[in-house]
Amino acid sequence: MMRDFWIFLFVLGLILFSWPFMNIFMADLVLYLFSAWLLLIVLVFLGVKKKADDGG
Amino acid sequence: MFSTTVLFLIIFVYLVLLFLVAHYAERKERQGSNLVSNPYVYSLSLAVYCTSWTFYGSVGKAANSGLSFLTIYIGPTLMAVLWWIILRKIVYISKENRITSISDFIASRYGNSLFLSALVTFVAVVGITPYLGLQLKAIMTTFAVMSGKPEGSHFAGWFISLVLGIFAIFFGARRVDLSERHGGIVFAVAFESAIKLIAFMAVGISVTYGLFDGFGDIFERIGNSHYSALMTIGEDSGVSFMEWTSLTFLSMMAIMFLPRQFHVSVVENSSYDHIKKAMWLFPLYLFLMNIFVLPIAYGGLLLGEPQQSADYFVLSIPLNQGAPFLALFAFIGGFSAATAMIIVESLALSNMVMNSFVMPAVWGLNAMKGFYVMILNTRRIIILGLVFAGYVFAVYIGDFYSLVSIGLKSFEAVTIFAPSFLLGLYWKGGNKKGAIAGILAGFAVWIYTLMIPALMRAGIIAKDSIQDYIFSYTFLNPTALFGLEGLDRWSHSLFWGLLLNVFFYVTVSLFTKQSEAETRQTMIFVDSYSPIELSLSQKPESIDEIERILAEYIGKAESKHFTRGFLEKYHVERNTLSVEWLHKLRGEAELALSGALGPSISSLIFQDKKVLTHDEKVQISDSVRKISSSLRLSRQELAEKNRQLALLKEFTENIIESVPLGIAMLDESLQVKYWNMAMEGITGVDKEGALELQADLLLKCLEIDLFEPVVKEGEVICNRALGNAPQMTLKVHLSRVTGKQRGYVLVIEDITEKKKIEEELFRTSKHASIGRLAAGVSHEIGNPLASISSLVQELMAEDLPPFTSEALGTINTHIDRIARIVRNLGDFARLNPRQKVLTQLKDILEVTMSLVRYDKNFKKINIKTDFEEVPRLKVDPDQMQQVFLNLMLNARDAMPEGGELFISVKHNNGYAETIFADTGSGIDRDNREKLFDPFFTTKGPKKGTGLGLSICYSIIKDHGGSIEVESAKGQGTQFTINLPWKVENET
Repeated sequence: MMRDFWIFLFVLGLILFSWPFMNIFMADLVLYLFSAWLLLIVLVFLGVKKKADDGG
Repeated sequence: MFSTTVLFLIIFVYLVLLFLVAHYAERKERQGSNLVSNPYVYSLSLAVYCTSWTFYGSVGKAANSGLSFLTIYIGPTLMAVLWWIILRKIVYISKENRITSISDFIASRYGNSLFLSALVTFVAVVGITPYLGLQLKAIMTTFAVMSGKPEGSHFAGWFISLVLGIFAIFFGARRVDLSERHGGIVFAVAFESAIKLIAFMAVGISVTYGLFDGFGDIFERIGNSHYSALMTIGEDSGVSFMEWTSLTFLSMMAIMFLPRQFHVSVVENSSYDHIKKAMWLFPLYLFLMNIFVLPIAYGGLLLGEPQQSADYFVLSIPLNQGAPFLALFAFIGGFSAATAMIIVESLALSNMVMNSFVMPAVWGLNAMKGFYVMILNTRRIIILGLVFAGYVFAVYIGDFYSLVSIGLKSFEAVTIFAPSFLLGLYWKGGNKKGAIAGILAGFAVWIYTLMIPALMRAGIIAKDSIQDYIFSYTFLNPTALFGLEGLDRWSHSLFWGLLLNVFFYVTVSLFTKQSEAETRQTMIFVDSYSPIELSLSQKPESIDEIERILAEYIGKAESKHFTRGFLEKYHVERNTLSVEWLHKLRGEAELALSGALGPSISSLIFQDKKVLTHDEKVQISDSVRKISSSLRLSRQELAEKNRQLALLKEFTENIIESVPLGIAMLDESLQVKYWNMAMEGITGVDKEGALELQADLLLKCLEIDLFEPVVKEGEVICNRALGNAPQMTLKVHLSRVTGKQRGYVLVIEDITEKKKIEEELFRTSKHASIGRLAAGVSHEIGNPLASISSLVQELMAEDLPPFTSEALGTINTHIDRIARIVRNLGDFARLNPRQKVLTQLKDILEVTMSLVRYDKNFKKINIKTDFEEVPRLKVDPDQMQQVFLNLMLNARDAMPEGGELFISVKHNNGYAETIFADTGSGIDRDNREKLFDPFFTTKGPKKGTGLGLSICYSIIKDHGGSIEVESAKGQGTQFTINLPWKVENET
């Protein structure tokens, strides 16, 4: 189950940092890039925490 | 500016500090401390990824081509998401096979191929040495920036190369170590990662908030300047989307395949749990490291610093703004970034060169066998050689290229390993020939599309030469190979390199066969399969021989230490070592040696001693047959079994959840693993809150402690006290579970109602038997007593002497007393049935209160009433009055010093509820239970017969009602009478 979650998160990351997604936020690209980056880190943190809680 | 002497002194002090830090960590590790082996040090050590390129080059890149520098850090962040899947597998395989470098890993996957190992090492050394030079170039350049003159920077580079080489030797090659981990180096690298982060952030904060008014101010100003294109990506900016994607991919590969990253993330890993934390801690480090890159880059441009010198804005801005000590701190930060990389990279590369070139040569020549000191010294020379190769590159070639350019070429170089490494992990079809073909193709493209144009730009390949003519030909143009134009150089090289690499790897693998050794290794790598240990009759035949072989390569002391460790670990005797143990020792010796010399050479050392006998072949084929038969259960069958199991699980859970019993599963440490719904009702703790908590904490509501001082298995009955919730009587059963999942099963049954009914039944039957007895006694005593009483009355009417008259008076008094008791007994036995009529309870209560009002003892008692309108009840008014009077007199006796008596009547769900609550002395628990028993009294024999409350009980029961008492010692008593009104009212 967690394997699917990590793959999903990886694909989400690829989408967040790729064209044309970045093009949408071109007006404030710097803010977008750092926000998306932080979001990805937080999601990984939550995933790791959930895994720990599940005893995995 | 600082003098060169001061700078040398600072560098020297810093390096001494680094030695001390590494030495301290090694000492603590030997003492068993987990100073090094923890996820934070592991994550910080991964930050060796951030070299001087990050420290200086990112700012340069941001100032020249905008946001593209972010790809170098976003790539590893993306890759880190998959670490639990990929890196964990790599670490597992590496630990199982004592793999200590990326070349060993790839070679081991393809049947311990020496050629492949050498090829990978060659590509890595060619691709990474410039990267080493980049670090030394950064140190020399920053030295010159800090001192304000170029003199001395080359000497500084030479001096630092020497010291760092010695450092790597001291902590990485002091001896031939069978343990492949280097705690001292890892801790020193982690320390340096912390230093460089703090230094960079210090400069960032100073620029952002000291020289400008924060991020918004800098971004607004740069947005309004002619540098505004640096804030975007796309056609009008310095970086295209294609380049962005290519650089992100390259950095994803770099974090996995750079030799130093492989070394810290795989070889130095001591726990899988560290990977989990590093998955977010390492990206967070990268995030923090990059927050101030743009402010420093844009700030430098806004302050008028030259764009072409942007690589060193981190130093030049503080220096030019009058903050030399901040610049000095930044210099130390950049220095730490460079030194960490040099130390780890040189160590990792030296391992690869040693295992891929030197050891096979030694083995082939058989010349240095037995001279382990020479082997050790060779490793040391290689480390120094690699560092100085970097130095030479930095001095003679480095000036032609920017930091970023050198770094990215190295990234492209290690990406060559990606297909054979990653596909080799998940595709069984890949073989050695395919891997060699793929790597050769990738390397050729790397040389052709990146190195040749670089050499041409540097003027090393002269214009108008034959080579120049060939390269100018459209089809062979190295920057537009086969006519492919429009791509930046990184995307161009990556496209052709990956395409040809994957193509050759797959194609050659499909058209050629794997060797037996490759097939075995494929199982180990793709399926993470640990081979079954077969007891083969391999040589060597004695522990002495194994010790001798080991000593040839690692020295006698280390060899003896290893065998002694083995004997102690398995508690076996040296002199009585069986053949099985000898084979186990041999296997571990081979693994241990592979940690020091690489798996290829290690297997070679023992190879000539492997001979399969006929019996062993039979044994192997038998094992294979057994494995095949156990795999016969088809996928469909497994799926069906799985479905049935799920249904059974659901069914069982439904039962457990629906039973009116509290059920909990505890593990051996009393941690709750299961908690059903009924348990929630009993304890007031919901399932989510209970799981993983200690049961002894959750069951505090029980009046007994089930777990202290020892776990009380078996059945106990106890009460529950849970806040204002009604008291509950529970039957608790705790039993031990044995088997794989050890622990306890706790079953709790709520027996409050059951116990109440049992008590009621017991009391009723007791009253019935005593009633029958009372009826008989009353009848038998009543009749003779009447005769005696009448005779005494007659005698008293006679003229008698004073003594006789007085005696008869006394007799008469006692007869009256006996008669009263007999009458009470008759009442108790309901010998005198009365007429029930519709009556208002309120009226009876008011009459009763008027009776007691004249009792002097009631004058101290404040009687409060609250009578609601309730329907009339069909009761015997006299008997009811008797009950109420009895209860009020009891209340009076309980409050000799006065108090308060509260009497109320109200409607309660079809019953008229009458309450008598006093503030008297109360009744303790033992007496409370016997209160309604006949002849039980707490007042002493002279004051009461003990029949009052029994009679009350009988009367109320006779009216179809109930009477209950609540009391506690010192807290007053409350009697509650409930009489039904609906049914009686109908008539």
